[in-house]
Amino acid sequence: MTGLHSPGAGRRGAPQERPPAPHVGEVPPAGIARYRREAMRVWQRLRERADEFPPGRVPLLLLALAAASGAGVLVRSALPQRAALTVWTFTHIAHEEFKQRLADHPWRDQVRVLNLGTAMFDRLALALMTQTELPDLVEIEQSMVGRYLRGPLAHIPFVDLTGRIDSEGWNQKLIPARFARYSVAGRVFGIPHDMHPMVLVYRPDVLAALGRQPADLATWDAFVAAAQEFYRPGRLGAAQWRYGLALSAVEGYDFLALLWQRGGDVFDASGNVVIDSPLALDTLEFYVRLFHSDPPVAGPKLSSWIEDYAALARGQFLAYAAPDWMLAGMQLDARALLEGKVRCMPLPAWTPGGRRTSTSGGTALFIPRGCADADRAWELAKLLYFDRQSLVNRFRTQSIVPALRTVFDDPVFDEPCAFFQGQRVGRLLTELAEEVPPVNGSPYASEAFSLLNAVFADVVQRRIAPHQALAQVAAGLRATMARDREALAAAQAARRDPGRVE
Amino acid sequence: MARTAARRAQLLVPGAPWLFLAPFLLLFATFTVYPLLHSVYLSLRQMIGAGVDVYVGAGNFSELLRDRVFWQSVLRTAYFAAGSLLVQLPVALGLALLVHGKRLPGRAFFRTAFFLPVLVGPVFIGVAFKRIYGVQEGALNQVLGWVGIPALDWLRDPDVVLNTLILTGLWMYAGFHMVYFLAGLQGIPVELYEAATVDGAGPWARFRHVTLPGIWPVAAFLLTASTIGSFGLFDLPWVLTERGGPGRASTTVMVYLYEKGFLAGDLGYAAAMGWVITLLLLVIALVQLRLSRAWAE
Repeated sequence: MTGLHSPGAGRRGAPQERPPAPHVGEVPPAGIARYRREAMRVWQRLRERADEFPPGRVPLLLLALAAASGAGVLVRSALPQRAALTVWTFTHIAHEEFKQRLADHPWRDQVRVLNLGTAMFDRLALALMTQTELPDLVEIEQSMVGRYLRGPLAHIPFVDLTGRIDSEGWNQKLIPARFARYSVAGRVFGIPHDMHPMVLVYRPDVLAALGRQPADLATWDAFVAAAQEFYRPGRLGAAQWRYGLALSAVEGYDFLALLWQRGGDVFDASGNVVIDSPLALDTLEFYVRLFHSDPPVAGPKLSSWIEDYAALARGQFLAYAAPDWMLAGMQLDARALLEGKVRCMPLPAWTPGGRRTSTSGGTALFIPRGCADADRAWELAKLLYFDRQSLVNRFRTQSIVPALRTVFDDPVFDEPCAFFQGQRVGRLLTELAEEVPPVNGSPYASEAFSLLNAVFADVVQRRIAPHQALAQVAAGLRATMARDREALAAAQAARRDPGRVE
Repeated sequence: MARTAARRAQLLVPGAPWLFLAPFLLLFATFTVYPLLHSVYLSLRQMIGAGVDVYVGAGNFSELLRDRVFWQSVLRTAYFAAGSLLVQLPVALGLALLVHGKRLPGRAFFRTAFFLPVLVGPVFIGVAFKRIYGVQEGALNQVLGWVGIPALDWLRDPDVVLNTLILTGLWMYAGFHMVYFLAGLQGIPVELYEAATVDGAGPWARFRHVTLPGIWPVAAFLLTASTIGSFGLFDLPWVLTERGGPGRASTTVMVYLYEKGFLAGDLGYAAAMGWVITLLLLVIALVQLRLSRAWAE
């Protein structure tokens, strides 16, 4: 068989000679030879046609390939997909955990787990807007969930899980405070992955040198007194300075943790903005005073967690507030720096006998409304999130305390941890998990963090007063919420259903 | 044969050029024209969450005029652009002069070494430079400490962080600009330098009267291209200073556009922002073109 560029073929060349017809009387070829002759004839005719194509055979071939591959893509997308449940996550750890959970399960061939990294959030937004390629389950981090929850309740693109949670008793089996973060107007849309209680990681030898024990630091007032004794001045970059506590001087998350511990919040349970409440103002003024009191109590967090851990290891920080997930990070990234030098204690309370913890971060599992089978997705969600052994393994590898309190009796939480001088950190965390304050979810939560962070450095540096800063944040949030309300009202007034993207 | 020729003529006359152009036109229409037109459409709408999309007309644009954060991010980005130009272009020209001169041994090695940072992705640079800029343990502060300069909080001091980005941009892009200047230098006839030398011009005079005018077209192009590139700055502040922090101290227009479009979910507002930035850049480019022509004359 000759190729397309066989010599003498000619790009616009003369038609090739046809193979001679059998002579009269000649016996026609039989079997394979006959088919081969026919194939040669067809091939010859195709070549003649190709020669008639003005640009030549090669462009014709390229066009044919393009058409064939395009048709293949169209056919493939039109074919019914293999029935499978798809789970999207954004972390490698979760991906591995889910795959391990499914490894021995009958559903393992029917479930596809995809780790899309942080690109998942944009891809999910696109999928929800276009209602194409939706996953059946998706894990979303708490700071990113707000963008998907905006708009009227009826248009929230996730399945309302309130009924299922209530009827199956999950609001008793899980610590109920945690649902608030993934709820809108009292309806629950996400299953919480974690509690993330916060503790103080401290240097017991340094504390003992101050003549104190953890029991002496039961309130913030007591901690302030100890920290002020601990303080030493010094330039940034040097090894002389000492501060009682490391707090962020540029972002508001540590302030929010203190506010939540105290029972305040950015939004109330109805979604109204309350960040400018007297309680929030008092907490922010306290926070700023920690940096500027004489002597100061808190010093600014450094450029990265590793620098903070190194400073803690050198005894330049007395204590460091950390949620449970950070304890695993310390053991992974700072083992050489901190192992055997630190222990954990509850946060000091605002009032004697008060709450001894707060929270930071969080992840939840959601079922997109357009998924093929919400009931099946719900069963899969329970399998992935409520399996006892998976939750135990998760604590062992990531120090993450689950929201499912029925797991708390597992012996893993009583295992001594050599990193923390043999302390049973798990038991401390589970006790604190019951006290984790509820944090009200809102579609405008990420906007709130952004507005707060924009003014925070100025507040801590005393360029603007705390009440001005909180007023700015509150005004910004209310303006955004009002703009959305006006747009929806205008659309309804024009008798257009604010439905899907046109 | 006559039948074949006639058939070929039928195919050739009406459709052949369009057939040639069809693949490009299809891709261009799909990935350039359609997104542009769709962004105009989006800019007239407000998106609330994933399922609600409302026509607001010029509402996004009027909101943008009142958006202090947007205009502050424009000023910040302009500061970054100006700072980058004032620092990067002279350094790049200096490097080009250095590697263009015949006296430097290993010129080819240095040309490659200066250009290599251009090949490294901004995300990787952001991650690596975070360690270098560390306030307590970072290499830069340690070196500064050796010469008695106090440590700076390169990443968390709002007064310093934009300059940190300019410094990082210098490392990333000086080599890129150097290559352009090198090409410009190589285009200047040697006879001009010889003539200037014969006329008694010293090194500075030769630079002023021969080199600068010779590379001015390249410099003018780099001025405009760098300005446009600076306004597209996103990766570096997103990774290095953690989403344009501290606070909004390093929030560029693209970071703010991404926040509004993809974190807050209002693609309409982000599209309106994109068009306003495009118009601003058009005005800046026209002004630069006028000025560079006037200077050349």
